[in-house]
Amino acid sequence: MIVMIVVCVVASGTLNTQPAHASLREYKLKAAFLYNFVKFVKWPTAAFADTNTPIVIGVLGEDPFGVALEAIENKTIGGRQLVIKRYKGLQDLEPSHILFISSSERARLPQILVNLKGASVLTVGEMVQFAQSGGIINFTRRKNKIRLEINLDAAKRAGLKISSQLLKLAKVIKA
Amino acid sequence: MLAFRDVPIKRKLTLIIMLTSSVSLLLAGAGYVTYDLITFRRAMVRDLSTLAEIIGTNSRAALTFDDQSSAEETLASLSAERQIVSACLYMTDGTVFAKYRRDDVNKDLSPPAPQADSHRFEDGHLVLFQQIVLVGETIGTIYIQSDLSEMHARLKRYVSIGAIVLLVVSGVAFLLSSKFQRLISEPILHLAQTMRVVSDQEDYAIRAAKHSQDEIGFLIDGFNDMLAQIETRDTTLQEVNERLAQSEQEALAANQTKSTFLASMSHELRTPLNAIIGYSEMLQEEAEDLGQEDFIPDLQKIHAAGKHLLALINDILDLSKIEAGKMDLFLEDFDISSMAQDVVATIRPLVEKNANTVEVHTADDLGIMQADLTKVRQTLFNLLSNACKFTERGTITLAASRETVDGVAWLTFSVADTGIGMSPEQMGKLFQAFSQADASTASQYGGTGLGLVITQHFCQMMGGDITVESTVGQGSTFTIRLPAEVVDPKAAAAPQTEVLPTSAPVEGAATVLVIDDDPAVRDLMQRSLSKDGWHVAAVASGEEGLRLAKERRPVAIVLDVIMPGMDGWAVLTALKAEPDLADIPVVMQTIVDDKNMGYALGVSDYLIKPIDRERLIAILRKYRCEPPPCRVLVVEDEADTRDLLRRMLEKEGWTVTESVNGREALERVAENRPNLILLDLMMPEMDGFTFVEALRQQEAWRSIPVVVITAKDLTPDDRQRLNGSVERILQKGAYSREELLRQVRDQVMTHVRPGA
Repeated sequence: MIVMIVVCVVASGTLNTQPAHASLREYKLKAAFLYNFVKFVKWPTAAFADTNTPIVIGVLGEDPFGVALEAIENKTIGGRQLVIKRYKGLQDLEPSHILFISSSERARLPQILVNLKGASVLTVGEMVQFAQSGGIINFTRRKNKIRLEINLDAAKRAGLKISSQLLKLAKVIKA
Repeated sequence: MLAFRDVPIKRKLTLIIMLTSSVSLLLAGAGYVTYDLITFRRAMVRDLSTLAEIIGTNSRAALTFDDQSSAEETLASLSAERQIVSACLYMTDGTVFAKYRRDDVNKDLSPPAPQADSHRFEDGHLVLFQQIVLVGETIGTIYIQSDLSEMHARLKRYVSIGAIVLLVVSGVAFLLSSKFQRLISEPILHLAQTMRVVSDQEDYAIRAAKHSQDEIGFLIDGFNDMLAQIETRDTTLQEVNERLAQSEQEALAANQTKSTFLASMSHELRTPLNAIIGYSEMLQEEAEDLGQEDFIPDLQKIHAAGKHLLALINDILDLSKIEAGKMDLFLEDFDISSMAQDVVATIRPLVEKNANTVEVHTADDLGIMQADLTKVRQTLFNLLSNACKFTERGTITLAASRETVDGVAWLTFSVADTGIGMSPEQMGKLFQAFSQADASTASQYGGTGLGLVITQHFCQMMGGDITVESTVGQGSTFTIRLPAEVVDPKAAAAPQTEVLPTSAPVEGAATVLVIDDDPAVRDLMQRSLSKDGWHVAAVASGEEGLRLAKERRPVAIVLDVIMPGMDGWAVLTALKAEPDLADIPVVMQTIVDDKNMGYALGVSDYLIKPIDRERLIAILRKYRCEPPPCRVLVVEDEADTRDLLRRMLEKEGWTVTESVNGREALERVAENRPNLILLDLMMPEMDGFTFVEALRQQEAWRSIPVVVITAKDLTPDDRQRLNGSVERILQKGAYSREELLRQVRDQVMTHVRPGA
């Protein structure tokens, strides 16, 4: 079992230079983050039918991860299997626990969020103003490090509890 | 440890209590502190573990999301716990993710390699490793290093508190124990004190007070019981002693009574016998003179019976004395050959009775022996008379020889006869009282049966022994061995006999011999007498005196009566026994002490009862006056003796005046001054001494010679009484030295003229 431990060395510049390599590395990181989010977020009991119900991570829109998600696919966290689902558009959307909204869906974001109202879905994005718009967690980049922005109210509305530890690391956004 | 044993009880108890409390406290304290520290350590580990857990948990996100600064921030919160020296977060691959160092720690700690969950104490620090787990997965390790400052501080606190508490406890223990040790020590000290008092004051009526029922109370009870026992024993002892003293008194009194009885019995029994013997003798002579020879055999029988009875009485009394332990030795020097000859001469009539012959074999070197003359004579006489009795027409041989063994001179006397002899069985019974060899021999041969017993006693008293050999039908030989110098075990130490240097012999001066144990008297005599032109030789003892008398032949002898060893009377007897010395006038004197010089008892001569006629005649011849008739005054309380004397004296041609006691005698002297006085010492009303004293007080009467008649058996008590009377009398008088000297000089000059 391998755990994605990232070396605490500044791999500065890699994200900037070659988009393709940087992208892969970046998205590997982001995949790991997604994976780890599970550890620091609490879904309501209704979100899972039973103890064996897998955790669904959905990717809505254009999938920027590519093979990066393979690393976390089918892993188990807390006895639940991690399942990756890709959705092209809103019409394909199925209930998931974490939904990564790709930047390609920027224009349709409000619609999507309305659609997801009431559902316990951790919405994750990497767009500017994502959190302010109502998304829960947003990936940002600062000093070549991935940073997080978290909309706590949105999480509350979704019925999700985010660990304070995660919050500590993130910038809390108020809508 | 030995020193502690000798510490007084009070201190001991106190120290023990204090020691016990302190040790208990220390142990308890140590136990508690140890427990506490162990618990504290465990708590420390737990706390640190908890802290690690918390920090670890709080760092999960940082670890997961690779937020180093957040992790370090989290670690930095450890600064709140001042004990934490450093902390470190490791990632799963072991690399250090975040570090924390306490601000005062300047050296750069290189964190150790991560380990599995563990903790240990090393180098004065507690280090802990703990895994950080997130959803069942280990995502990192946290390392925390804590110092033990708090534990040390805690320990120090404990120690100081403990010290203070110990001090306080010791103080309190000291106070309490000082107070309460009294419960134990006081009764013990009281007991010790009581013991001391009892032994110091020897008062066994004291008891120790009992205040408790414990072992000490028991001890005190035991002590008191012992004292009670001692007290009882003491009392009993005292009573017993008193009773013993009383018994002793009674025994002494009884003894005294016995002595007196013996002495008086002796006197009482012999007196009538003297009359019988004396008168029968007288009658025999008168019968011869008157030609009435028919009476003679009867008178002889009476005489013989009387003599026999006297012999019996003498023997019985001797034996009683011996058995009562009252037989004493009177030692004097005498010539052995002459004594032997004397005895043989005495025994001759008995020898001739059985037609025996007697032979005497005496060695030439016999010389002189110092012994009890009377007893030796009696012994030989006894043996010879036995020999005569049991031999007929035989020969009796007396042999005497001298030999020296181991430097001590011994004399051997043997009496051999050719008589009937004895069987061994008979010899066995020989020395038993009242047994003659055979019952039949008593009737045939006479005798008292006591002679040999007494003889044996006498020999043994003088340090010698008697043995016998005999063959039936052939004869017997009795042998006596005596030391040449008999020592009387009862005698006091012999006085020093020093002869004062005599004054330079003046040509033609005669010698006066002074015998006195008092050196002052000797000196005095010397000086005063030599002033008169006498040559004085002074000696301290009778023995010396006799020797010197024989050597120097003094013209007069001044003789002290009271002397240790050989007293004046014994010397006088010895002098009279010597033919050469018998005629020397003897002035007997006695002086009580230096201060109270007494009266000089001038006694010229003495006679022993029963009065030997020959002796009396000799004395009379000495004191004969010119021209005759000479007057003699007889002072005697016994009528028979008086009568006897009268007859004897008148026969010699003296005029006799009689008186029954001293008082009468003085009257007689006043009426008609006699030329000689025969004086019995033991008289009622006024005894001899008192008479002489009174006599001498008169100037005119001082020169009358006084011949004293004494009993044969003067016991030491008699002599003591005699001398005692003298003392008594003399102490009454306080005569000066001059008086005494005058007396002496007068006496001497009466008999001798200076220069003669």
